[in-house]
Amino acid sequence: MENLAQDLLNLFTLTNMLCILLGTVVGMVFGALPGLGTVIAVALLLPVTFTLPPLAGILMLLATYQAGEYGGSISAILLGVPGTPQAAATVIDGHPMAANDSPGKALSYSLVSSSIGGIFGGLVLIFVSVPLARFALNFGSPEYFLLGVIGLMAVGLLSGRDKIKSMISVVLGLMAGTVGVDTLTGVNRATFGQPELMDGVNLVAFLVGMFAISELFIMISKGLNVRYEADRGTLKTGLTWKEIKGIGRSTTIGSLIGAGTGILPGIGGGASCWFAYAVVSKTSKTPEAFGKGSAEGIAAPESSNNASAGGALVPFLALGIPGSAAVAIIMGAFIMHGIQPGPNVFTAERDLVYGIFYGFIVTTVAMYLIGRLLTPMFARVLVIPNSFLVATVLVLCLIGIYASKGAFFDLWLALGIGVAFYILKRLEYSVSSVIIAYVLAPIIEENFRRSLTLSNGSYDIFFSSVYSIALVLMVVAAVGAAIYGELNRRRNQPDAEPTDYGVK
Amino acid sequence: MFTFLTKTAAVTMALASLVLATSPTEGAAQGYPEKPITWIVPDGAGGGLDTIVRTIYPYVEKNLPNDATFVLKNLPGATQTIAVSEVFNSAPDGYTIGQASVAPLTIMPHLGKTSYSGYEDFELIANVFDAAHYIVVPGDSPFQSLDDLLAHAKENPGAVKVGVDGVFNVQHLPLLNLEQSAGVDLNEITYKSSAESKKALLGGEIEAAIMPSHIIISEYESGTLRPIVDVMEVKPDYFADIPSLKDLGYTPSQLFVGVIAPKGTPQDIQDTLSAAIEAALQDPELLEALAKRKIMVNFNDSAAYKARMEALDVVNKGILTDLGVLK
Amino acid sequence: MTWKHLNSLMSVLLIMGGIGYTLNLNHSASQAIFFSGSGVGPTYFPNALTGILVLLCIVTLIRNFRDKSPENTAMVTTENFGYILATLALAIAFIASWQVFGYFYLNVFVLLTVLLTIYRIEFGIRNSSLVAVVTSVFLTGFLFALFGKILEISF
Repeated sequence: MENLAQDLLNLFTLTNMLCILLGTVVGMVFGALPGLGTVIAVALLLPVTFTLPPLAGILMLLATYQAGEYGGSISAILLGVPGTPQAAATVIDGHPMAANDSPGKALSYSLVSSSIGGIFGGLVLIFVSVPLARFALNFGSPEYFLLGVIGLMAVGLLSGRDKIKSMISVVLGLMAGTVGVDTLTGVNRATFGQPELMDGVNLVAFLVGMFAISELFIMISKGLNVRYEADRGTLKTGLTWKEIKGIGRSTTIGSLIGAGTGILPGIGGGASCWFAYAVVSKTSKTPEAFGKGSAEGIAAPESSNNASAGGALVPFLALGIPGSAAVAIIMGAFIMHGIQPGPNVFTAERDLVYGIFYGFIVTTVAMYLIGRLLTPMFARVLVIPNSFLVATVLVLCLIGIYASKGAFFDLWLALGIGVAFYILKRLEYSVSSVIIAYVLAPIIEENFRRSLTLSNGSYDIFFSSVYSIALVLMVVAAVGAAIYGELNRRRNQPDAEPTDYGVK
Repeated sequence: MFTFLTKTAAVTMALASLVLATSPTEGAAQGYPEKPITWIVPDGAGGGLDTIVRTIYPYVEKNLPNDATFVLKNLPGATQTIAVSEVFNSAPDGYTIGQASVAPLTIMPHLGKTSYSGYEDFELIANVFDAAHYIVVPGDSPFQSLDDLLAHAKENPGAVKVGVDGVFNVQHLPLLNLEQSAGVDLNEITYKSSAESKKALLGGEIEAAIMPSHIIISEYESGTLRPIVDVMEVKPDYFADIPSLKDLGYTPSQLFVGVIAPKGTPQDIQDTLSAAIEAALQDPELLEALAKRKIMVNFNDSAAYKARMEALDVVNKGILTDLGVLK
Repeated sequence: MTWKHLNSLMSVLLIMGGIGYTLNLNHSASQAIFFSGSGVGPTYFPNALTGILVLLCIVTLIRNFRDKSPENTAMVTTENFGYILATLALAIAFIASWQVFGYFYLNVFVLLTVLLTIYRIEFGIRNSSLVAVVTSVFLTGFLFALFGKILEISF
């Protein structure tokens, strides 16, 4: 108890609180600006932290990370353009709710579930980080491969109206994910002689092209000088207790899935939001509402991406293995101050670690409070006519792409992808399937081939541990359930159309 | 279309730089620098090498005349070759320099993946720091030394799994070289990053891995990981008692990171820059900051830097030729 | 152009893209000499993916040919198509000018001004250009302050 009091005393200093405040605001704004996102926000703030005491600097970055995860949903909800890859799933229900019902409500659902997810991630971090990190080590290459396959099946669950076109979308995403130097052999794959493609298709360029630029064309089509008719009611941001209870189940599932994928280095928030969305939409009592502005559809991905932020810190603090790109940069702040994350950090830097633990919870609270304060302002974005929005967002997107790697090639690429996906969207190909397949492609392929190298070519490796066998069974069960469901559906209502997830 | 555009752009930029590069080559250091110098960093903002350059550059500025300032330009990707190519294509007027490790200068050109043909296409200004990479085993591994590992591998060809973070790089080539000179067959497992191979090693997926020294300090102290041999020439003081490949009679590799400039940069400007880097690397404040981060500062002047590069290039070329990659 | 035409065109383009991808892939893979031996090489998955893509696209093509529904034979209409083309053209001009000449903030200012003038032309050239200039000055200034001054990113 004495320790706790001392820890809290160390934590609640003016410097720390100001740093958390600054990090939260920067994270939220950068998260909300399409193309900039969490990783760039953390990278840009990193040099600032070198002049600060370790705890203050690290808390600032963590606050940025947390708030960026929520911030990404702001533009996803208001414009249909995810600010970060982790908010891509939020578009599906967040955007329709903002357009048809109430932007203020949609943002509030996102904020509340993000905060709950963040707190959950923080609690996981405080109470079980060491055993959990050791447990996560049981997941080797074969298990990662199987997890990737399960993820790909989750995409199948999300597929839109046209099954064949959804499958084509998945294949396109997988193909895009294979571009670049092959990790295992060093062979250039489909780089067309461009050195910029050697590290693969730049995720930011891909995401911005697919979601933002194509969406801008759609916004132009909708009319440039029409105003969204906003009255006080639709901009109101509060939620009733009943409404919060309504997203309880999906927030719980989202938090669990987010923390679970977060602790596995390399899977990250980009995939966890889709896992959460798929599970919640398939187990919901009102599956027909998904894709049309379901509150549960916002809560699931949003709670999962914030929970995965806490989860990603678990292997980082306990083993020195960063769980996500943003955490890899936060690691820079540790090293800069001469702190080596790893098993020793809990004893060698006890005060710092516990400061981070409790501070992480404080960053979530700060995110909620500042979010509450700013949400009404954000909701008003929709009152701005499209003409101003389109021009501003276009410029911000291009800046974001350039800031990510400094390559003009990426700008041309994003523009080309934007035009292509504008047409593909109108032809009812599924954009969500493309992005999730792109994220999963290297996880699936590299780990499959690495597993076979490990076993000298024997497939037994996929049945060699309890975990891999369990995952194989999950794959089999999911395939079986899908076939059974499809047969049932055909028998009962041959003409019924599956839910269209708004990915048109 | 992209090729066309980049080509046109390259031509235009080349023309523009011809126009801009009007400063006379003789006595160029007089009044140098007149404008900000671009320092190209082959790493994304917030990456490991980026933060090192960001720590160092203010001290180099301090030691340059005429209130010199640097503008950092991050160009990550393709094993640093994108950044090094940018240096290659820049005007040799002293207003562009770049940071580069050894892979883009002594390995990638031989794989035919670069527009420049090797380190000879650059002016090597000064080396800044060295890094050490170790063959690491789990704390409870039966291998107490490299000999144990090699002996076991000799009896069981292909059974010992060793992780590296990529192919044809500063970890992979020394490993292949070691296999050849020791006459053993290891199963090399490729991961995307050292973080991934560390996870695999801790999880028991592989028996050993090559890893940079600074990321295993904490695990070493707690006894969960144990470095057995340094594959590079220079040793950090915290692992001073662990042998290197050289100590054991094998050819070591080298990993050092320095500052390069486009070929034809005036000699006196090179000297000015080199002197400023040397002075900066003696600043106790900077040394303390770098020591805290476990960076092994190792200043080499142009001649020494070049000699090391040349020696390493011969070694790497030899390995690649033996493998049949290079004819 | 009808939806049917657009659909077919897209399928053909995707097939061509897939073939280009696989040709380039196998060409560069054939240049490589050294493979680590696991049996599954670097071209295995990509070639399989191309195969699936071509197959699925052919299925789509056939389905599309058979689809004679009124929705499919209707013309493709795009509201504000001119504005979309103008936006695209301006974006291309902006990136090209930035890449070749530099002067990032000047380019941003011009792009924003022209875009906003065109978008709001229905309010009269005077009104729209005035509003455009004022907005662009403000936005460019904001971007310069944020990226150029506070974050010190050089474009």
